[in-house]
Amino acid sequence: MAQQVTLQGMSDGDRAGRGGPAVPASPTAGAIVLLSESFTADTVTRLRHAVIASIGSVGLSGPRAEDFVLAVHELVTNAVCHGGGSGRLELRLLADVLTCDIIDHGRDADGLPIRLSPTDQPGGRGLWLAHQLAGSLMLSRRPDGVTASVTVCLTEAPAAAAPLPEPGHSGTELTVTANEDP
Amino acid sequence: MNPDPSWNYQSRTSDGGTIVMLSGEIDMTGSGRLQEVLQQAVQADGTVTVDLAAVRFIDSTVIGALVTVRNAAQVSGTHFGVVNAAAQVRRVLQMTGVLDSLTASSTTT
Repeated sequence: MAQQVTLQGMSDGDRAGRGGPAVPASPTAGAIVLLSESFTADTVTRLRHAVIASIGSVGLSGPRAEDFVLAVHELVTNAVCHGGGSGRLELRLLADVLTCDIIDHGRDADGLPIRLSPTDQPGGRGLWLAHQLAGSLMLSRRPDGVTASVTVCLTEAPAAAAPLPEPGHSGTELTVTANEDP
Repeated sequence: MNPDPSWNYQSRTSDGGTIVMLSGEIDMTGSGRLQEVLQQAVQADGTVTVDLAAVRFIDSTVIGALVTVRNAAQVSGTHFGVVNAAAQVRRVLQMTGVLDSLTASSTTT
C-alpha cells in the first residue's frame, strides 16, 4: 500500500535517478516532526489531545482525523498496557502523508493479538481497532521493543485512500516486519 | 464523585431501575473506575441502563469494561445494557460488533 511504501522511505523524490543500488532512505528523511513525546498511563489523555491539535494544524479533521486519532490512541494504550508501561510517540509529516510511530519497550510482537475478540470477551480489541481504523498497521520488532506505525494521507488521494472498514470486515493489509540485529 | 475531569457520571434510580448517565471522554485512564461504578450499580439494582448520549469518546478499554459488567450481570440475572450511543461511540461499538449485544433490550429513556 502507498502508506507502507512511504513509511519505508521509497517515495522520497530526492533519491530518484541517482543510479547505483537502491538504498531505502531513512523514514524520517525530509519529514517535519509535528510531535515527539514520551508517554505513560498518566499522560495518555493529554497526548491524544496533542495529537488532535497537531493533525488539525496541518489540515486533517473530521471522520478521517477521528479514526486516525483513535488508531494512534489504541497503539499508545497497547504500549502502556502491554509494552512496558511507557513509550514514545513520534508524529511526522512527509509530503502529504502523516506517519505516527509508537515506540514501546515490550518484549516482542509475537504474542500481540490482531484479531477481533468475540463479543463476550472483555479485552483484545485494541490492535484490531487500530488496524481497521488506519487501514494498515506496521509492527516492527526492535531488540528492545516494538514500534507500531500507522499512516494517513492528508488528501484523500485514490491510491492512498483506505476504504472505511465495514463491521466484521478484516481483509485489510497487515504487515509485521522483524528488524533483527544483523 | 469522580476525580477524573475528562468524564463524569450521574446515577438516577427509580422503580424502573437505575440509569447511569455518562458524559465526556472515557479512555484507559477512566475505564477501571467506570467498571467499578457500573458493577456497584448492577449489584445494587436488578436493572441498570447506561446512557451514552453525552459521551464523546471511548476506546477499547471502555468496551472491555462494558463487556465485563454485562457478563457479570448475565451471571447474576441482572438486566444491563447501554442506550443512546452516538457518533464516535456508536461507530466504535458497531465496528467491534458489540453494539447489539450491549444495547439494552427494554430501554428506559
